[in-house]
This record gives sequence, structure tokens and C-alpha cells, in this order.
Amino acid sequence: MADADDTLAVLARDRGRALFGYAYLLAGDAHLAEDLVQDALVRTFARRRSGFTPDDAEAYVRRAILTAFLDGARRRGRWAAVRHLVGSTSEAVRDPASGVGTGLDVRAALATLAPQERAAAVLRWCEDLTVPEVAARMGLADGTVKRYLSTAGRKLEALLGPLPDGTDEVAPLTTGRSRP
Amino acid sequence: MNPFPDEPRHPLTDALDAAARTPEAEAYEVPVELVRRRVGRRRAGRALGVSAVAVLVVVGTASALPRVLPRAVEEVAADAPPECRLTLEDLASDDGAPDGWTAALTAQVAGTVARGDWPLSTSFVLESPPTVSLVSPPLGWTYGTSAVVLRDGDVVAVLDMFGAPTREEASRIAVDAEPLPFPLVTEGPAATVDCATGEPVTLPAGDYEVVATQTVGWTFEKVGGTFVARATSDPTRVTVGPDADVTSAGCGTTEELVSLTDPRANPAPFAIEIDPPAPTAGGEFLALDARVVSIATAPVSSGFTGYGRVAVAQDGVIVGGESAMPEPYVSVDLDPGESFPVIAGAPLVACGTDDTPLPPGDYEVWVMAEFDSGGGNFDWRAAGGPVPLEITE
Repeated sequence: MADADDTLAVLARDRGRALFGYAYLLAGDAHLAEDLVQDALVRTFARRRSGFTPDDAEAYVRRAILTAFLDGARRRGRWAAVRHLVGSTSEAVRDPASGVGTGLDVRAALATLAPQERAAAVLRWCEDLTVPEVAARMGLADGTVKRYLSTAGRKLEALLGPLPDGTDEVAPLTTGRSRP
Repeated sequence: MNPFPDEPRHPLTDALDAAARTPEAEAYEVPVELVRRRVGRRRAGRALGVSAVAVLVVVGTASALPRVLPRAVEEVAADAPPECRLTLEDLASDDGAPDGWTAALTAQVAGTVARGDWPLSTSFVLESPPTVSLVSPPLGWTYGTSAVVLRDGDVVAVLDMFGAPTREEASRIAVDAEPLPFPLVTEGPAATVDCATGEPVTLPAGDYEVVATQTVGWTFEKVGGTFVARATSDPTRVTVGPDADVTSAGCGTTEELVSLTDPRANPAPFAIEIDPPAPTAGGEFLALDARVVSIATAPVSSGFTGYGRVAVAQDGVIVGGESAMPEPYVSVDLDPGESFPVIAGAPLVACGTDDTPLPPGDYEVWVMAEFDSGGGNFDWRAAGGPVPLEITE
């Protein structure tokens, strides 16, 4: 247990904030991000993994954060259809666009996206993964990811301006842009 | 690198770094001790996942339970799960349902358990009072399940799951689950945690009994409201296979894996491909490049955890490996011949140990994963292998 525990301590100390940032970008909520990181660490280290380096662990934890986020979004989506039957909800009603304005930033822009779109956008444009890599991470077909990215790209470009270069899947959406 | 240095970097490009420098991130610290405690409780275990698998429902009542005295306190580890200190009467003491409703739970562990996680399934039945005419059926969810393992009347272990809260506690828990019709069926593997050590354990061969307690909530589609009930099952017998199956034959044989790779014998529409790994030292973590491939003749939709179970074998005997990560659900929609990655890896240590490196030599590696055949039934299984693996010093 000592090895795994040491790996956990090292990972928490050296990469805790980066993991939080990753979860924060996906979730758009600090408390949910904390929960995602903690749950992902538990999921990862609940399996005994001798010889597990912090780098190995971080890759697993990041995957666990993503899958937990997507899984939670899926469950919340289905639950949302009937949650009014159980009375009031503790979640405050949030206007996703309310954070976009003078304080415009990336997180506010990402908050306007649906969870799957947001995950695809973070993986594609923040982590700089290719579409097939995003599809593999999300367990989706390439075409599905392209559809998410196309929708997300439109929304993000409207708020943040033209997307980073190399985003061919949404390049047609960006008009008036020329490359040297 | 920005290929257009005269253009400002897009904020998305730096978003991850920026998010890690936000005040929230700066103030954040991983609660390492809390994570350690949760890891200790959940090691090698999992919470039960809801599935639609039907199991035989036998109504049990708390009054039918034999009285079981708690083990002597000195035999229970200080950090053992609290259920280790409960009698069955304690376990069932909060059973009940409101306003004349009747709740009953059945627990079942399929087959003989050899080692590893126990395949526990439960079914929670809810019956309305005979005088009540329902406008709409109840739709329920599970708050948690506790299960104890008995041998000769003693609680010797518990199954590592999200424990069943009391009804009062449950009434204060915010619900984030999809309501489902009754009976509420849960199914999934759960690790056995030794009451004497507080650690996951492979129990010695012999006959045991499992008793489960579950707390559920429900509402009504057209009426609303939230109601809570809790019920405890009758004991169900579980046989742990002989030690010889564990020690002399490692963690089993590859016979089943071989059969899973035969499409004539395996109805699952998937195969798993594995790239031969590079030579790896014993004790090191083996990360595999693996993928699930559709062998169907038409598009197929399914789902799995995204992770594969790894088996390291020698001469047909599984000597190492690791179970798959159990929790996420990843949807897969594959055209014939299409594939996508399976996350698979394991420390190269002897099975049943935490840190005994597998000795140098020639081995073979398999990967197995379970897939949703529809409605949450994970009864499609696919395997890939064997591929050669050289374990070095």
C-alpha cells in the first residue's frame, strides 16, 4: 500500500491543482470539480497498482474525471426529465449565458455548451487532441464528436472569436480568416 | 507551439493552464487523507450498478432472521467497516416502509465464488397497501446497500459497497439517480473486506452466508412526493471454492478466455485486439494498446466501462492481472469492422499479492471486457489474446 499511497501523495502535491483545473474546465463549477477530482482519485487508487508512477496515475485520474463527468451528465440528463416529481431541487437554476458579458472568459463560454459538447471542446481545443483521440476518450464515433465540435465551435466562436488553428472540423464556420 | 507567432494565442489554447491558476485552484488541495480513507473502503470494490437483470425474488422479513452475536471486539479491526460490529438484528433494526407499504429484499450471489469480487445481485420489492388504488406506479432509486458475510454465525467480512443509510438519513440525502420501476434490481461485483483486518480478502474455501440490507426511495409519476423504505434479506448461501483452485492454478485458467475468442461459441458481436507489448520488468505497470472491434455484420450499439480486464498467463494458467475499472459507462456505436480503444493495464505482480513481481520469463496476455447487450445487461463478453509478453528482471 505504501507505493500507491506515496504515488497518491506525490500526485496530489504536484498535480492536484492541474487536475482540479481540468475538472473545473469540464464542470464549470468549483465544488463539482472538487468532487470529480476526489472521486477520480478514489476510483483510480482503489485498484492496487504496484509500480504505478504519478504520470501513470495522472493519466488514469484524468480519464476517470472525464468519464465521471460524462456519466454524471448523462444521469443528470435522464433524471432531469422526472426530477420535478420529487419536489424542489437543491441545484440553483443557472442561466448558462449569465456569466458571459463583460467578464467573458473561457469558462463562461464553455458553460454555454451542453456537457458532451463541453467535454469534446476541452479535449479538442484545450488538450489539443485530434478528433479520433477525442472520440476514443469519450467512447464515441468520430462523426458524433465532429457533430459536437461543430455545434460547440459555433457557440465558442461567437463568444471567443475564431478558434485555434488546426480545427478543420469547424473551419468552414470561420469566415474571413486567412492564413499566411 | 503557435505556428502563427504574430497572432495572439487563443484563450482556449491556454485554458487548462489558466484553470489551474484560478483562485479556486490556488486554494484547492487534494484531501489526501480523505481519499486514502475512501480508497481503503473501496479498494478492489465497487458500488453496485443498477441493471435490469431479473433474479428470483423471495420475500424475506427481518423477523425470520436468526440472531447472530457480534464477534468479540478484539477480533474486529479498528478501521473495519462498521457492519462488522452489527448483529443481524442490528442490521434489520431500521427496516420498514411508511403507511402500510411492504418492502422486501432478496440477495443472491451467483454460483461458486473462487476469488476476487463477489457477484452480488439484489432485488427490492415494494407492495402497496391492499386498500390503495394507485394512479401511477412507484418509481424508485437505491440510496445504498450493506451486505455482511457470515460463517458459522459470525460476521467475518462485509461486501464493499455504498452502505445502506438509515431511513432518516436517506430522507435527507439529495437524490441524483434515475427513478426506475420496482422491483429495483442491482447487480455487480463487490469486494470482500475482512472484519479482522479491515482489508480486502479472499476468504478461505467453505460455505458462507450473505445478508444484505438496502435503503430505497420512491416517488410517483403523477402525484410526486418522496418516500423511503429499508429492508433486509434472508441469508443466502455462498460457497467459496477450494484453495487449490487459487493456489495451484493461480487465478484460474485461460480456458474460458479461449472460448470467448471463438465467434462460433461466443454470441457477443465484439472481438478484442491487443498489440503485443514491449518487454516489461516484473513489478512494473503494463499498459496495453487494445481495442474492441465489431465482428457483427450490421451496426451495433452497446456500452461498457471503457476498461478491459487483463490476465497474464503462463501455460494456460492465469498468474497475474487486474480487474477492469468498474464504474464508467461508455457508449459504443460501431459499424462492422470499426473499433475503438479499450483501456487495459495491470501491474506485473503475482495474482493474490500486492507487490510480488512476476518472475522473468515468457508469458501471454489476454484482455476481457463485458458489454451491455441491451437494457443494462452486461452479458456480452469479449476477449482478446493471447499475445506474447516477455517479463524481464
